[in-house]
Amino acid sequence: MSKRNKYSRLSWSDIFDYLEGKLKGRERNAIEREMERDPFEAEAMEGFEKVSREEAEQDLSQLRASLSRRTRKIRWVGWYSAAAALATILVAGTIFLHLNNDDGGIEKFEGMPEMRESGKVKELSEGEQLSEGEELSEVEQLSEVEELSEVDEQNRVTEQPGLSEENGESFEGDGAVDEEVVELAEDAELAEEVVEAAKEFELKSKEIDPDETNAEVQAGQIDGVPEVNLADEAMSMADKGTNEAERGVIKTDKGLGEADKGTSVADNNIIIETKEYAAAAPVLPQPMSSKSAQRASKLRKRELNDTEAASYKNQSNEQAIHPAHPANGYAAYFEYLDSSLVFPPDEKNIDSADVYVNFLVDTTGRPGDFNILRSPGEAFSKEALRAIKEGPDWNPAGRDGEQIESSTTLWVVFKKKPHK
Amino acid sequence: MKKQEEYSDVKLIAVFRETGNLEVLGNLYERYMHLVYGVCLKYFEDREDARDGVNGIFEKLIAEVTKHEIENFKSWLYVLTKHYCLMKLRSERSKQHRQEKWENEQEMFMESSDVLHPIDEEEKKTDDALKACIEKLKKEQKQCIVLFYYNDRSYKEISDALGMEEKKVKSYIQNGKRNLKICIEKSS
Repeated sequence: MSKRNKYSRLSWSDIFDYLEGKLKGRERNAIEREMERDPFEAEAMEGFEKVSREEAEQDLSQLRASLSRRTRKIRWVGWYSAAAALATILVAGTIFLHLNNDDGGIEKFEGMPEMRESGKVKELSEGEQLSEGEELSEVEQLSEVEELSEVDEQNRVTEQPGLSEENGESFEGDGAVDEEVVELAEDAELAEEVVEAAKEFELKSKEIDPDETNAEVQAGQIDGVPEVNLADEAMSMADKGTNEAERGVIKTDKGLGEADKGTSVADNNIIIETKEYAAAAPVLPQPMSSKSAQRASKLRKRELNDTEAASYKNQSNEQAIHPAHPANGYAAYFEYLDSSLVFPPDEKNIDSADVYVNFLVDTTGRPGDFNILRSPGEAFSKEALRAIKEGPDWNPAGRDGEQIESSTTLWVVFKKKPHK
Repeated sequence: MKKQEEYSDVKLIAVFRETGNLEVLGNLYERYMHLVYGVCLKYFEDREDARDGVNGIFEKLIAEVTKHEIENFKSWLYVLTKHYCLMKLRSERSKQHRQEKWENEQEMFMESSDVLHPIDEEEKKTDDALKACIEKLKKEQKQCIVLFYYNDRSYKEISDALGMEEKKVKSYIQNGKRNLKICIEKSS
């Protein structure tokens, strides 16, 4: 059950593990069930058949990058003026600290991004400006004013290309920095939850911002290198980071898969301790076509002979209108078989086996008169019969409201399964 | 603090409506972007067209998302995606083979709905009416349905066991489900 829930929304690796044939049996069925349930997933799967995993990964990381540019660009346009103002304060504050304390200034400066993240930047930098400003001599204060005005000019210069190009990317850093402040300012107006949710979306950009801002401020301070390049670089680095993080996730998934395989391999070697998973399905009596017989012969040691096939067919003609079925339903019946069947411990060469059992269900609902139609060996036949004989009651077949004896066929499947 | 992944689709739509923050919508879109991309690949049969499609559908999403009451975003996005792809294909009438494909798909499009088939819901799978209807199915349909839904067998396993092509297995399941639906509606 838990396996199935895992795929309630198909992940990237689910899709390609499925397409590449890495998933087997129940895991495969779980994916297919999800596709039956959701045509969106099914159609997407049809599309993915046309490309390789690598191509699709490449396209998707490209799409994620353009989506994030698209969503940030708009925000930047909106917050632009506030961004410029905050940048001014930050740069001014940094230079101020630097002037006041040549040794400690750099440390404080490096601490800035974190302070900004806590949303208290504005207050803090202003506060420090005031308190430390008092200790400055008049001369220093004068020179500081000059510095500030220079910074303002630098800011104005760098604002221009941004406005004309409407590039957005070059000011990514500004936009992100500023949005937190604006959002915090709006705190009072927005519902608490909404703000919390909105802040979550800043997580990604927060990780990027400190570097970007550092680069920016240093640029302004040292030699006025245009911000554009640095911010761009930071952006592309951030994109790469995201891609790498994703690849990491996929790798982890693979790793888990391999660990699983490892377990099952190990379990196969210690057969006595291995639990088996096996289930059964009813196979309605049906003559074997030559094609299916051919296929079956590849998979199984023994084939139906003509006589058996003929008796099989005759029984199918006597099939009642309402055939016999497990009293608690097939689903419960298979669950019972799953838990009850024990994989014969001496069968070390195979890890799965099919047994076809035909039997009568009498009017009291008990199975009897067993006939093994196909089995890889005595041990499997015996175990399948034991499970059916000890198993739950059946509902007898009915014809015209009357209960009758009828035959039914079960396909009992033995499979080794790893320990849980 | 909750992680953003934990917010439901509906919640994110509400946040977007209130704040207009495109990043919220982008985050929501990203959850299903691979599916949108897959569907685009299916219809456009070209990676570049598919990428353009994914970007185009996001623009459409921005325009449409506030206009509708959306209970199930995923299936709403599916309809939006499919609509976009089909319209795009229709506008390229010169490509005749695509046009034909579109006409075939159009039928399916009309059929797609929010309502799950009862057999696709775990809790309804044991419903008596459903079970009775399964018993009435034709042999092959019943075999495939039971093996697939009650015995957790993959298409491949069923196709090996019954000696038929996987395509055939899928179509028996499809047709079986349709017959089940008719049967259940009749009996209720």
